Amino acid sequence: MKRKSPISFKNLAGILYVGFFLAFLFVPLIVMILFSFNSSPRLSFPIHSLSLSWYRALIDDELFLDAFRRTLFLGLGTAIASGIIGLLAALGLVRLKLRVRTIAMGLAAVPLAFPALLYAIALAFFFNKIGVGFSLWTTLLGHVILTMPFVFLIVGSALERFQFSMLEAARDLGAGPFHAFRTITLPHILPAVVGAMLLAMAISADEFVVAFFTAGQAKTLPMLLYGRLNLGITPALNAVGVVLLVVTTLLAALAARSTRFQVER
Amino acid sequence: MITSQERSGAAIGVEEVSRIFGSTRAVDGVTLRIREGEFFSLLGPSGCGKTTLLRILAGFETPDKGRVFLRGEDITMVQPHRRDVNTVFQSYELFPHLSVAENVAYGLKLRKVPRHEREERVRAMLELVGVSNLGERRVNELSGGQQQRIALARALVNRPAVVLLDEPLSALDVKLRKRMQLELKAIHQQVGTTFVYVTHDQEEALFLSDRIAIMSNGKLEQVGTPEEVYESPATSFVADFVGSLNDFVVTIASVNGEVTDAQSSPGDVLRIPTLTGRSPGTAVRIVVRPERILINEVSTNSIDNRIVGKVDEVIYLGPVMHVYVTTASIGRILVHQFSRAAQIPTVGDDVFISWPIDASIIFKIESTK
Repeated sequence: MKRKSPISFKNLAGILYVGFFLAFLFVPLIVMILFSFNSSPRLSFPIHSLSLSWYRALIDDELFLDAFRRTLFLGLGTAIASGIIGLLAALGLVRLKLRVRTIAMGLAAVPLAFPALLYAIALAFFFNKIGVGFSLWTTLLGHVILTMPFVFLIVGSALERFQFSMLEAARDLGAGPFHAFRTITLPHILPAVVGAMLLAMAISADEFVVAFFTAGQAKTLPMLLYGRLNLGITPALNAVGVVLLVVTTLLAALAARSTRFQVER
Repeated sequence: MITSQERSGAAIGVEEVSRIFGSTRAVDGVTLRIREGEFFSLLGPSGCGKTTLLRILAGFETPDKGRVFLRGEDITMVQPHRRDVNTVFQSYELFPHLSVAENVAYGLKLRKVPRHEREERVRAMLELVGVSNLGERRVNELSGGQQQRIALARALVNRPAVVLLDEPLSALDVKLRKRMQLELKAIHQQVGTTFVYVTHDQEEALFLSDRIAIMSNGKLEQVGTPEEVYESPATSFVADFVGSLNDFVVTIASVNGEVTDAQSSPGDVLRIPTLTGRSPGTAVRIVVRPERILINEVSTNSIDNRIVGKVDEVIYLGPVMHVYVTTASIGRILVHQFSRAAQIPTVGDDVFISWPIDASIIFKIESTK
C-alpha cells in the first residue's frame, strides 16, 4: 500500500508539471470538440450556445460522406489484407530457427522507423512507372505495406508464447493438422490477431501522406480535411476532426483491450 | 523375423526399428512386442532412446528403418491422428483455453461420439481418475497432480488400443508421485488397456510394470518381469541401473562340480556358481546385491561365502542402514541392513560378511572401452 504523505513543495511541483504536460496534450483536442458543438461560426470564446448544426451539415455534405466511405473501405480492407498476410507470415516464421526468427523480426521492425513519406514517394514513383493509375486501390496497397509489420510483430510475439507441443497433443487425440490449428493455435493467437487488425485499421483511418501521394482523386477523410483547411478554418472542420478522433480512439482502445487480454492469459 | 501370427498377438510392437538424429542412433535396431493389457515400461537413463521409441509408437517420429505394428497392422507410415493410441505427455499439454471437461471431450468430439454419450463418458472418466468435481474448471487453475489426472483421463476416455505415458509423474513431488503410482496401477487394472510407460526411475518401473524393457544407447539391454531384471540381470548395465550393487572382479582358482572357488585372501571363502567354459585362471566380474549380504561378528560355517572385513562407514537411512565394509579379498563392500537388526555394526568393528552362492551374478569381463 502507498503511504499517504502531505503534499510538499516538491510533490506539488511534480503534480503541476504532469498537469501541464497532460493539458498540453489534450487541450487542443478539447477545444476542437467544444467548437464542433458551437452554434456560432466564429472560432472564439466565449461559446454562447451549443448545437449539432455542424454535424448535421456533415450528413448533408456529399463530399464528406464519400471521403468517410473511402476511409472506412480503406480501414477495413487494410485490416483484412494486413491481418491475413501478417498472420501467414508469422505462422511461417515460427517454424524457422531462433536465429533466423530474430533476424526476420528485426528486419520487419525496421520500416516502422521510416517516415511514411519515404513509402509515399516510392509508391507514387512505382505506380507511375508501371502505369497503374492512382486510386483507392493503390492507397490500399500502401496502407497494407505500412501496417503489415505491426500485424506480423504482434502475432509473431503471440506465437512465440504458444506451446507448439500442444499441437502434438491435439494430433495425438485425433485432430488433423488443420483441425489442430483451428481448435488449438487459433484460439491462442486470436486476440492478438484481432488487436493487430484493429490497430491496422486505426493507422489507415488517419494516414495522410501515403494517401495524398497515391489516392489521386479518391479523397480520404484526412485528405478532405487538408483540402478544407485551404478554404479556411471553419467549425465544420472541427466536426470532421471529432469524427476522426472518435473512430481512431475507439479502434485503438479496442486494439489495446484485445491485446491486453492476450497478455493476461 | 517375426511371423504375422506373433504380430497379431501383440497390442503394439516394433521390428528392427532405428531412428538416427545426425550422428547419434537414438533408437538402434529395437524389436519389441508388447502384449495386450500389459503394463509395460521403457526404462533407462536420459538419452537412452526411450522417449524417441515412445514417439515412434505415437507417430511423432518416423523410424529410419524398421516397422511399427498395432494389433497386427503395419502403422509405420500412419499419421499420429490416425493411430488408435493416445499419449499422456510429460508436461501434460492440456489446452488452456478449454475447461477440464472440454479437454477430456476433445478426442471424443473428433470421433463423432454423440453428445449424450460423450458427456457420460467424460463424467465417468473424471470420476475414475478422481477429479469428478473439476469438470467446469479451467486447467490453469489446477495443481500438478490434478493436471496429471486430467491428462490421463483425456487419453483413456477415447478407449485407445494402447496408452503411451511419457514420464507422467516426473513433475510431481515425491509423496504425490508415490500416491499417483498406486492410483495409476489401480486404474490400469480397472480399464485393462495396454500401457506403455517411459521412466528413468527404476523403482517406479519395478513397482508399476508387468514387464520392463531396459534401454541403453538406443539398444535394448533386457526385457523381462521386474523380478527377472532385478534378480537375473542380463548385462552388467542392467545390474547397475536396476538397484544398487557391489561389483568386483575375481579370478577362478578351482572348479568343484557345481561350485567354483575363486582366489581370495587366506582365511576367506569366496565361491560362485559354476558356469561352463570358466577354467582356473579366468577372471570374472561378480555382482552382489547389498541386501543379500549379511554381517556377522563371529564366523559361521553354514553360509557359502565368508569374507573378513572391517566396518568403515555406517549410514542411517530410517528403516535401513548402509554399512560399508573394507575387505582384503574384494575391496569395499556395501551391505543393506535393517536398522532394527539384532546386531548393529559400528565403525571399526571386525566382522565377517557372507552371502549365498546363488546371490552372486556373474558376468564375463568386457573388453576395455
